[in-house]
Amino acid sequence: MNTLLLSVLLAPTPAEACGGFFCNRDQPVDQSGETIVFEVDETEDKVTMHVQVDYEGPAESFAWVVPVKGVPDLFRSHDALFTGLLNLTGRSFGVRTDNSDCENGTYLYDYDAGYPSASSSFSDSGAPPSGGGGVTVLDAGTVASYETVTLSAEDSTVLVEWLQDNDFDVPDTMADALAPYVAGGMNFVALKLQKDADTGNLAPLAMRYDGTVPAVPLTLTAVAATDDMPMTIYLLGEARGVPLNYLHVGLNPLAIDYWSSGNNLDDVISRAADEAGGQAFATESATELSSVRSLLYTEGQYDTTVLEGLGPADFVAALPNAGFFGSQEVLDVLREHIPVPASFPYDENDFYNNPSYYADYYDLITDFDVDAAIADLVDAEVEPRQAAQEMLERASWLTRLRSSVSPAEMTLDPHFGFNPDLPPAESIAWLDVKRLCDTVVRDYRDAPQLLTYPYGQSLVIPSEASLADRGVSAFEYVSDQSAFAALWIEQMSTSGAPDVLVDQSGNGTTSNPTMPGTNMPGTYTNDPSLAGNGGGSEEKAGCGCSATGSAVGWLPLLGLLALGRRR
Amino acid sequence: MRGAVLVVAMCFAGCAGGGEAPGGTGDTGWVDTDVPCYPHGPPRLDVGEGAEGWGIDGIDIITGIPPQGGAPYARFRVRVANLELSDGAEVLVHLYDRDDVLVGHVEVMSGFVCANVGDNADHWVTPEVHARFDGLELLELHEVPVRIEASVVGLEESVVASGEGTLMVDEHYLD
Repeated sequence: MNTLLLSVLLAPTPAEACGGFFCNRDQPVDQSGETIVFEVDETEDKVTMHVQVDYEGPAESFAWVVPVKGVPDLFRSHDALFTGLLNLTGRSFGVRTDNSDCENGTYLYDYDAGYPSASSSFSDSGAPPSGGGGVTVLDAGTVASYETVTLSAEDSTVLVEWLQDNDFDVPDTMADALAPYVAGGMNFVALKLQKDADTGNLAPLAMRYDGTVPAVPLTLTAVAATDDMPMTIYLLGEARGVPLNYLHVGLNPLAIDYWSSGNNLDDVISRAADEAGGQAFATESATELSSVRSLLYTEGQYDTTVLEGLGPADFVAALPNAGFFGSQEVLDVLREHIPVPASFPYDENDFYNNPSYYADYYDLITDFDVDAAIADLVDAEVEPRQAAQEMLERASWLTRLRSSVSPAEMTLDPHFGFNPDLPPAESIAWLDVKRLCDTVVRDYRDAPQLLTYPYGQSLVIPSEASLADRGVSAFEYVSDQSAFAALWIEQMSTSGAPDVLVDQSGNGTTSNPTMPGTNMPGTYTNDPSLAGNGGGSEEKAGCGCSATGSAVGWLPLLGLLALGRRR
Repeated sequence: MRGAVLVVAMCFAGCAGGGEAPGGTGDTGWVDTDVPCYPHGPPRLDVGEGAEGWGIDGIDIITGIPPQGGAPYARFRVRVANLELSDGAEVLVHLYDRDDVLVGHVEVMSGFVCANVGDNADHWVTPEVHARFDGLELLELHEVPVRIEASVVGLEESVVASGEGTLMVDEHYLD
């Protein structure tokens, strides 16, 4: 895993230098994120892992090494799987404002924030290379544009030397990281790019191996990772997915900037993980899957018979009729089989989007093998989508966990499981803002604001005008009320309720480890100008709200830093 | 954690050098405070095997193969009372056989959280640590008596615990 840079869809991170892989032997290049999908097949004791590869750099500098049990099946995955899962689980934060009590605003309007912006030489030889010096080649082949080899080794230094001798651009420092896995008798899958492979968009890769517990060999990742490396884990299974040996954090809603659609979520998760000692995950979404049919693939979606026997221009023109559209995978096949002639004066998009217009240039391609092109389309587009669709339909729950881990914290490989006793964790969260106009205050801009967070927690803050006078935004005001990003820190397991270790909600008990948390009833006002009776003007009579519950729920958030928490 | 940690750190800075904090008991030498995880007495280390319970004396220690593969392992949890661990600490668990040979071990820097609720309240708790039995086959470990030496080494102080138990291979692997 360690040499992989896996796209972080919510917050795409530009690849740095060689993009997060071991790119040269002197200096491992930072890995800046991982996105992994796990499916557990308990009937056959198999785990399938899909990883999304994001890499920029020279093909010869790409290398990926991951420890595995046994000899896994390697196959091509599809970007659509990751996009589909993101769409199913993406966190959404929004503010709904109610000015209906005010003269100048009688309409309850919704501001839907929407989703956060997402954002082989071996096979050529016909036989695996021979091992040597304690390295045994168990399998070799090609998957998409990767050359793959599965190895066993008796010594990590020898393993690294073997990799280097076989043009896997891994650093010497990798030997120490690999040593525990070698000592444990693990095998290793190593990948590099085929010669002349395009590194613009590498196909996601999947592997299926023996096991029932998803795990990420994170300790190996420490060799080439950035600080606070985001990590997104999708778990497909029969129940809600949970971290087993990492802690779980429930995020503090006050720390999340609802007014900006939650665009500080990564920072909040990072802080929460740090508050949990650095090894913790937050649940961004956990839902029962009910509407995934045809999400990625539909029977009959593709008809390759319409492509049979066509020349290159007609082939490209007929792709939509065959069900193919402009995915990266299709583009890769076109680049392989119908390369843009060197004499073509315009860009690639012009060429592929106007096959009839540029038919003369297509005629320059004389070695087009339509059968091979069709086979590659099936291999790159049809079969991965179909397999991913079948995987989604097998699962009854989808959980998305997210964390942020720094190299120094990568001392424990996280394990994951499924807990049928836990409730769903919804992915949509609203902050309701009620402008508290009355007979005195008629303009919504002058009215105190009652904020009601998901699950009913509430807080009264000054009016929009008052906040503007103070030069602070509503979120800045709210975030100042709480020192914590993690409202709960807990240990989860494969059954029962979590074992809550830290509860900053003030209730002393927590039963629902969703994000954001539950069980925080009460309306709290901390601003002296707002405290008091039910008047309307904050300057004159304070808050117009009546408490909907005890203030206890929020008090510790305010007082703990300064006073310590009294038990 | 940081909030609680800050409280502790603040109080250390403000109280330790100046003697007893307001409300301190004085006669014990320990500051009497309700701040979670504030030292109230001598440091104490609890070690638990697997997912539940505390204490390692006379226990069965379940061993298996970790899901990501590799050498056999056993899972331990640790919690510490009366020691300041807001900056993390090194956790060491060593297992020796009857011949005093080290058969399993883990030494790792871990972050700790100050638990303020539940059975772990007032303890610094860390996620699991995994002791590995490098170079040994899993089935070799079945019913092997071991001495367990555990320690948590903080910035200024450390705390130890020990016990005797028996390695037991997870029944899943014995079928």
